[in-house]
Amino acid sequence: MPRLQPLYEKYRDRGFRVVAVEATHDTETAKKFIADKGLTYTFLEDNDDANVVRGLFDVHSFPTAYVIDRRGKIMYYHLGFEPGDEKAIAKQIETLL
Amino acid sequence: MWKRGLIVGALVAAAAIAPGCSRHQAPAQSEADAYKAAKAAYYKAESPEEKAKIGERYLEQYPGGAHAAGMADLVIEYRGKELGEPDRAFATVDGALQKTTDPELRFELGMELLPLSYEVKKPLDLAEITRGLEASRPLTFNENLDVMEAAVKHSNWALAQAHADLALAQATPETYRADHPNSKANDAKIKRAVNRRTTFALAYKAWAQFNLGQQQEAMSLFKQADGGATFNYLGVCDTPLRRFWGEAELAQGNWDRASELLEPSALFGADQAALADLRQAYAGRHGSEAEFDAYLWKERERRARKVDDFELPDYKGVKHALSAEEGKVTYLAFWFPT
Repeated sequence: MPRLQPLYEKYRDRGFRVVAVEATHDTETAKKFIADKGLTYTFLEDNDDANVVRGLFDVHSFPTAYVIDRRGKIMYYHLGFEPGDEKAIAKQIETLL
Repeated sequence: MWKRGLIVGALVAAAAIAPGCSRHQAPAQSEADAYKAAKAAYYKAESPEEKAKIGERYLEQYPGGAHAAGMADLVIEYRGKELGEPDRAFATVDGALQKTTDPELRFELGMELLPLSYEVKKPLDLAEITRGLEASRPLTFNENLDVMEAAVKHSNWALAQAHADLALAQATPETYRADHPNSKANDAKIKRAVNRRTTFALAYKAWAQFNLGQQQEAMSLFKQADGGATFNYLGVCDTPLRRFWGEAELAQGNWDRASELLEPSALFGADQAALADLRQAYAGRHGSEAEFDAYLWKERERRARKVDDFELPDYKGVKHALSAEEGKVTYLAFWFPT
């Protein structure tokens, strides 16, 4: 997650955003993590009623991410985050901007 | 295979307890203390060297310890991968394996060590590791799945087929319920889970058959299995069925059919193997890879799913709808803090 911050800062003015949805309702740990790492993009918290992560998107492995184009189409998928993935993601973002 | 997250996620911030003189303690007590100490040390550890040493120390003292597989994972990940010393990592874990007689632990450690054993060209005998456990009890469905996966990776087709047959016999509601005694799943959910087990087992069986030269039987089994195929949110088959079937069609030079089967996982499944296969199918069809990237782009555009809208609160309680900032390129991540 911290590795998304530089991407956010680099591309936000060109119409890029990051939306992170926390899946386990671990509110305090998440808030501390976000503050400690100085993350400024959008963080949302799932709940049992909305059940967005496991219900709507059927996600069970983490981290899972979608790169979505300006029309809302999911163009790329990522499972896990290895060092160096930022380069591939930056390339993908640039093709969609 | 091993869930390192179990160590990280279930942290106990226990004071580091030195194992002390084990002559005055029952062995089980010492091992439990050593594991507690290891977890606490891992929580504080910052460098890969420190983390590797935690695993190495434990395996030195408790090669047959209850947590040996998790500790082996630390050694393999940090000593073997991050610090780039695979031979040393292998020696440590193999050393522990040699000192372990319990078939359950031998199986766990063996499965953990298997990929590295191939990397350092000292391959473990998967059939032997499996037989050891089977002598004391039948493998569970998930264990059969792990063995099938490893067998296929290392082209042990007969072993893959044998375990696919065992797994197929476990694709029943009764077995599923017995494996998940605390599950509150209703009949519909169980039916889906059993269906998935069947599809997994048939996919491996068919792929093993194909590689054993029984191509006609394999192709008809793929087709049969596809009747129960299930797909995730992005339309990617959530078992290896379509990837194996695609590779079979590719081997037979059926480029169009192979492409159709491989496109979803290559494009939206982050499956590098499927992507490489798709490239091969493309080259087969067109005689060159020249326009492959353009083709990929076109297929992405054609197949991409529109993301569902949803509304959730942020940590200040403010509600956000995903569609509120339509027109932006979005990186949507699902995560949890560790």
